[in-house]
Amino acid sequence: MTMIQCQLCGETFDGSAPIGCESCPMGGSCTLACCPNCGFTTVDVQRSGPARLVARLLGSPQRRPHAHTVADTPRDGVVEVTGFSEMASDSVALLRAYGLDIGRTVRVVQHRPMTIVEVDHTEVALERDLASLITVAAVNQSSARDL
Amino acid sequence: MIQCAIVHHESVSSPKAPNLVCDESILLVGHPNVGKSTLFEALTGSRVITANYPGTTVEVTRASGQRLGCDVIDSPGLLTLPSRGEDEQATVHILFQEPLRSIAQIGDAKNLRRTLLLTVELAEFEIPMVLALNMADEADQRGVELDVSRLSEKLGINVVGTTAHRKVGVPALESAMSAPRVPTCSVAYPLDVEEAVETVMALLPEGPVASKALALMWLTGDPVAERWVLDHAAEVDQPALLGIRSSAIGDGIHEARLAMAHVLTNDVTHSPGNVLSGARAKLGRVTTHPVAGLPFVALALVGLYWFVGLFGAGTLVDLMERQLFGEVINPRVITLVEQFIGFELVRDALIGEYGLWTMGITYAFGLILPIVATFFIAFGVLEDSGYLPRLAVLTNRAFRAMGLNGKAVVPMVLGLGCVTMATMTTRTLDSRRDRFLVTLLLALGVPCSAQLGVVLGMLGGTSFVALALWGSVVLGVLLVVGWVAARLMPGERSAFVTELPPMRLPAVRPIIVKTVARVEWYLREVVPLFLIGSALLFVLDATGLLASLVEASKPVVVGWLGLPPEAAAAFLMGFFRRDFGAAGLFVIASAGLMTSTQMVVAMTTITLFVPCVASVLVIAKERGWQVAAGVTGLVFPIAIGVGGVVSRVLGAVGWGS
Repeated sequence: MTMIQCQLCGETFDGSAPIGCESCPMGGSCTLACCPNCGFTTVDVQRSGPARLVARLLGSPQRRPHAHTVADTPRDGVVEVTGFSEMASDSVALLRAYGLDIGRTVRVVQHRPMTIVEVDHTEVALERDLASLITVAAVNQSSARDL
Repeated sequence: MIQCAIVHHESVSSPKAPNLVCDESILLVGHPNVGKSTLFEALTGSRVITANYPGTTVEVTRASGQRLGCDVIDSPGLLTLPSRGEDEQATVHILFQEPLRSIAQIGDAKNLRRTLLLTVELAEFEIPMVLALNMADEADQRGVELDVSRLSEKLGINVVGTTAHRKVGVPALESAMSAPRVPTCSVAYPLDVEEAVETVMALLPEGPVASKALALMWLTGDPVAERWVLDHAAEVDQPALLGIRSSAIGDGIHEARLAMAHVLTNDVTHSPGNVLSGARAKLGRVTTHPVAGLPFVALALVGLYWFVGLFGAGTLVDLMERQLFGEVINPRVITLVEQFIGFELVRDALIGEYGLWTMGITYAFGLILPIVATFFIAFGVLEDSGYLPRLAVLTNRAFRAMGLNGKAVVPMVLGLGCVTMATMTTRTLDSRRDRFLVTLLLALGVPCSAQLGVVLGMLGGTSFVALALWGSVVLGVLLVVGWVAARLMPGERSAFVTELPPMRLPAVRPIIVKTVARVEWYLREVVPLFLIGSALLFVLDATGLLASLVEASKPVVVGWLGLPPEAAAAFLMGFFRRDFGAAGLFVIASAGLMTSTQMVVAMTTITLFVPCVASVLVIAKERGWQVAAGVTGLVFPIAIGVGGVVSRVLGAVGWGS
């Protein structure tokens, strides 16, 4: 699941759940996502390499003010874990054992080839699929000292 | 600043270790990669192979702790309860089955919260404990300040700061271990959890561990507790027990434990310290970068090729096999045997073409030993530097194609040292499916150090293209078989999560010690098999059966694989150990009896053979005889089939003839 924030109305929605694709001439094979609230089209940059490259060259659209999952959080972003969305219980248990638990502050180190987060003095590498299921809320940088 | 290494003296109540002999043992428990094995070595003087990546200790190791007056058990890493994977369950089994004098929990001083989560879980077993906060030097470097005395007071057990690799704090830990105490801390669970625990305790018979610990393990779905309940099915009301379990209760238990670990951590932490920075941190980052990390992979591979393939298999083998054995030792042994042994048959058995000395001992010590020793040194450097988990991160995508995840990189790379040893480490993988797939791929196409050295020496000496062809075919077979097997195997691929330990400059002493220990282990296994292999070949040769077998295998070896008839005997040796067979092929190639094409075909085929008799036995031990038979039955036809196809393709394009 990739959470996307609509750039027009601000609605947050699941980009991997197709909405309106059956009536679209692109037939759902594109990397665009339509907002269920206003229908505005947003590029899912996580699914499109060229879009990601161009977006990077033009600026840093990934540095959004409100990150929603660890996978959405920009590099060096510090966020607080708020939950595990539809994650298998054994994966949750494993992440919790490494210290990645609700209420904990984590720093995102990198996303490619795997997402690496820092919690306390531990660096944990996890697959992007898992990272996209860890919901987070932004914290201010002064909280980073809690790491 | 309050440093672990200083404060722990205050928290240790007993100054002297007793000289007692007891039937009970001390169990070392802790997260993976916190230095349990290093402390075990310091406490017992035993040479356990330790490494800077999670999951090294796959066998439960026991040794006498002379100064402690009883045995010490080194257990596989345990992240948390409930236990996951066979290695973690092995640790819980010890808690269930072993008469324990005490538990010594080894924790990471800089990651106190994680450490204390396990402490509060272990405290529920009501077994006397001590807590060693290891890697105190790293905690100090990062500015972590802990009040160890206060922590000791809060937990009701002795807490000691240690730096195991420098043996700092070990005497204090031994003193603490002589006076372990049952922890006085206990988790305040929510009311619904306490009620559930009470109900389960009433339904369960008396168990091997404290009844509350057993009840909590049942409620959180620990597989070892579940198995114990199944074993006592006659005494328990299983439907009633199952009815009490729920995810809400499980979450409640975990959250209460976590809250306690959190409160304790905050209470005793004066400074949480700073995250790792500087050159080590930067190096750690670069090695996992998708592009910048690739030169490090190339560097590791080129370094391995240079050190093992050129220096070990070239320079050292030349020195040992040709100069030492060929010109100094063997002529003297042959003269002695010819002088003192009159029976021709016995003489041939010792110094003939398939003689115990001229083939078995010479191959084992002159050819294989230098290759194995150099590989183990190189592997030790990779392990201790903390690079292996980073390699797992970089290669995760490739393993994903085979339906696996990067966690498989540890057994796969270990397989380059010894497939038998690597097969044992598959128990660190999370699912039965992953364990089977990696076992199959290890048996099929991961060359062990001895064989790799022979391959690098033989094909590397021929041409880089020959080596690249061999590597591409073997890798291609691994990918295809892995891809197909992953789709045929039931179950889903496990998601990959791993800890990345800090990059460290490997110390010389531990690498030498572990290389010696590994070489000792290898020689103990390989020399008898080489001797048995030589003896069997001698018997087959003396009875004329070898000639018949070679004749019978000619349609395959000569007709299908396109190899010289002499290669048939080498392939027969390959049934015992594929490196033994590869060594035989090396000798044939060195005599100028093979073309480049034949060398690639021969090395590809023998690489895809089952590694050795020992590895088949270990597969049977770990995964059962059915799996061992299935893997063996699958691997040989694939090896022969692929070898023949490679022979025809290379012949058709006219390469290397």
